[in-house]
Amino acid sequence: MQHPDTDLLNTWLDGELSAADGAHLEAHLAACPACAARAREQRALHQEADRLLAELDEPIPDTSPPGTIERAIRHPASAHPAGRGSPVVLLPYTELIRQRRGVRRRVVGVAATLFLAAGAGWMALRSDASGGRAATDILSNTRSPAASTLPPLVARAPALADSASGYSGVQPDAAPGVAPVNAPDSERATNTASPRSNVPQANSANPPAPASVPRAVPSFADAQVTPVSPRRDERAAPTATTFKAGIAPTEPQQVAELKALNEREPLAVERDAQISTRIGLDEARRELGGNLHVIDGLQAELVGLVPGRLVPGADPSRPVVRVVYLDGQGQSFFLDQQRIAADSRDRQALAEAVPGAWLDGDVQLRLHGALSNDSLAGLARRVK
Amino acid sequence: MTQDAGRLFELYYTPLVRMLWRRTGDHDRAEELAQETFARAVEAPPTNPRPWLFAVALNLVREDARRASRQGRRLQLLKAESPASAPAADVEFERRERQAVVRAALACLNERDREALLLKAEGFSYDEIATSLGLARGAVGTTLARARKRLVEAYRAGESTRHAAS
Repeated sequence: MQHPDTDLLNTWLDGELSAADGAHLEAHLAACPACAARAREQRALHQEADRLLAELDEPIPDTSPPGTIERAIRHPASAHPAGRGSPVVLLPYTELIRQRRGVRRRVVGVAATLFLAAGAGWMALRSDASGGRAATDILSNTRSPAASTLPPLVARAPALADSASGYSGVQPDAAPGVAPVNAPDSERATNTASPRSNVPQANSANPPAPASVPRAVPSFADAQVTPVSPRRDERAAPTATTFKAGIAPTEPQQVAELKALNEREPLAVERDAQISTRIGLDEARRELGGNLHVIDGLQAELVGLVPGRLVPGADPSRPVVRVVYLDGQGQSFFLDQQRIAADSRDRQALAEAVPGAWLDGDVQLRLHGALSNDSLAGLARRVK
Repeated sequence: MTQDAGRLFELYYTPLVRMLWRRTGDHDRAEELAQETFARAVEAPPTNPRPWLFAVALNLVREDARRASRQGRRLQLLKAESPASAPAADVEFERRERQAVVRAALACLNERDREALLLKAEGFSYDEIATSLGLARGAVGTTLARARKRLVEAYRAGESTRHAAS
């Protein structure tokens, strides 16, 4: 192969090369230190640009729960201030907070006006699509079958007791007759993430790791610039998709069930974590060929599968098991794990090049998320 | 078949607000523009929603900027959001300064480069970027490479000026 030009390297780094072309290029990079250095340089540029854009994101005032569609129908018509049969009003959660605080913001009127129209359209579409079924019926059919089977993994540690409960502490005030709905849809949920997230590691020219790898200490030094291109919605999430609507629930039992489901497992966490399918411990064990690794003393929020192509350093052809934890601020962090074929030494080398990753036997682990490197390193020591 | 508006809202509101916030530097404005975008999606449900939504939102930003410059309303866009829990003043000050440099660097890019970069940061593929911005697919890679380079260079220049001044 000829030396690749910068455009080709960038296309590769952007995940836009075909598998065959990508393999060619990677083979060349493994053999050509000069090109590997250029690839690293370009990758650093990508990371720097991503970091700069992320600098523009602000923490949002009024730390509030990630809004979710299930809260969209949390007010039945009878409880709606405007009375039965009133039109649907959709507002971002931050606006609800502002209104409750009595702060007049110009955006409120605009939002309300716009979403009267939006809500009406939404209702129209709903009834078109469903032949007139109630929205609760439709949405309830989409709940995850695995959603109610996830047991707590381990006892909660006092030191980080708030981590897992951070969520419930910021639930919006639930009206009587709440009808929240969990509506995961792996296909679409994955769409919110980047379709091109298996950012390749440029330093694939590293020598292969020895066959038996003792448990390595993960390096978090570079964790802040990990090229995870699918951005999680950590910061902007609170503004997002909470809206209230005047839809009457149908079955009280169904409502209660959905409410419980909603309170326990906010959909937004699942979506932000890019989970395509939630799984139980048995399935995790099957996937990993051994026990699920967890952080000792912390309660996991949920366990699910993430497509391997979305996880840097992972085998893109197989899913990664992701254990999701929440810290006190409702920020997620993840313990990823994937079994690695014993003969794929290149992949082992690659795996260890990813910040925060290490190997335990033939399982590759990686701890990452919205925590400081020190915290991550501390938590990594408690993984078992 | 088009996806319903509620589903679109759920999927794309957050990334849309983030992109608009980065673009405008004004959170309220970003939310307003995102909501206006969704209102349009309800009127005319798009078949390929993601590129459509982001393209409409970026168009609204451009229209908004033109209107704002006519009305001399620009200064408002520079106003800062007050954070809920104020971090230490010096840390916050440093962050704001850095942010201003990033914003200035982003402003150095031409519109197309800037938009391509913002869309890529939201995980758009080359095809989606091409669709959203009306570019040839073959031009997307070059556009992005140029945008990244300029952004980083402008930022470094801005930072060295800032440090020289302080």
